[in-house]
Amino acid sequence: MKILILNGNPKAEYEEFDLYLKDLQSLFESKNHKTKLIMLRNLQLHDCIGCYACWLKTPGICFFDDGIDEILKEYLAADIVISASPVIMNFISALLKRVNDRMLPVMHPFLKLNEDRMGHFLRYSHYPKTVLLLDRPEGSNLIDMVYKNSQRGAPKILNTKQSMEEICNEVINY
Amino acid sequence: MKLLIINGSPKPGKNNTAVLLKRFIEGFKGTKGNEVEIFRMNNEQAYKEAAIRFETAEAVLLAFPLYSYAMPAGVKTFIEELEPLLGKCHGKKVGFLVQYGFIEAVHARALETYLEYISGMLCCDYLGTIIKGGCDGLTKSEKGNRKIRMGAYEIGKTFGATGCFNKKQLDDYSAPEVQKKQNSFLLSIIIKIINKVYWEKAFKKNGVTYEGSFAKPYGK
Ligand SMILES: Cc1cc2nc3c(=O)[nH]c(=O)nc-3n(C[C@H](O)[C@H](O)[C@H](O)COP(=O)(O)O)c2cc1C
Repeated sequence: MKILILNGNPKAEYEEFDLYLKDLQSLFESKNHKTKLIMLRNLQLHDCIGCYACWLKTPGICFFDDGIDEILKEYLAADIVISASPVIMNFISALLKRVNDRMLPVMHPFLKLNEDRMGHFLRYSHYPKTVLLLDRPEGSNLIDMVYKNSQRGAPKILNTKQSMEEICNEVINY
Repeated sequence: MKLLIINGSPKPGKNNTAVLLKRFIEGFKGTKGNEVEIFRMNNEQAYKEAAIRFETAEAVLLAFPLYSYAMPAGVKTFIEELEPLLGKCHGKKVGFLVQYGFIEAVHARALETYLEYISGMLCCDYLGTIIKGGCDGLTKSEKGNRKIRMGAYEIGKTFGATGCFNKKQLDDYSAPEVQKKQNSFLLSIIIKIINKVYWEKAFKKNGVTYEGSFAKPYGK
């Protein structure tokens, strides 16, 4: 299985979180799962500014050439994407949310009706499964609500208080 | 009342959030003595500055577009700046305005729960959240969307006069919550029309063909 871990920890001082993800990466690799870890805070990514160039000018490609294309490529090539973030003010970090917003190019502008509400056409025919990995169980219910409500479905929510073996099993059998 | 209005649209220049705010403010100022301070927030410096203004404000309206079922990353940066104020904002009134593309209110409900929760953690008096879908083209046509703009005016007027949001007024404004099954046929036709005259026209104007709009630069 191909796994991508996005580390959305904004604080270098919070080493414990970074170390957990590094060890998790090693554990996946020891089980023969090709795993890539991207440290988001080391990239100089812009916030999405809602210009819609990725829908209306250069379909599928973001206006900002700041490294987002690498993330989009890795995202689409993965079987599972683990978006990891400490819980800050009861939500995912702004750093991880930034990448979340910058995923707009993987959608298509056309609207459609999903049961009782609107959604968008998908640009690609294959998307990875997504997992959110938080640093604590507390506060995850609000985050869970937001992501359950979203079009691409509820990602599984896990936390780093769980043992690494448990996380590994949850992810691989997802 | 003096109201600090923070506009968190990440867009440079014209934005749909500002269109609704303009009407809201007109209504709000209908009551004598009401004053507003508008603060535009869409860069790192502004998030910090907004947090400083938030701290001293008597009442705040935080307005922004829905981005992926939540607040835009920049607005989250601002919320992170408020961390030192947790538990310390007794007596400060806080309300929100969330507008976006999809028509139904349901898309913003989970976020609304979050906004109420975080207001509570700050010990602010939570006024409520104005939710309005179907706002994608507001900056494009001043004449269309009259109902959407007038609704913002009416809510501003009520708030200006009473210092509160009226729950019924907010619910009427954000309707429909979801689409009714019996409307789905009609709605699917309307959606086809929107795709054709709004989105397709917009990309064709840039020389992008129908097929080209489905390009898959990074995968299958
Ligand atoms: C990255 C991104 C994510 C968005 N996510 C949503 C969404 O989840 N639901 C929705 O209805 N509209 C969504 N929109 C559309 C905006 O909410 C809508 O265009 C809004 O009116 C923009 O407001 P503004 O002009 O004030 O920035 C999104 C737009 C962008 C750029």
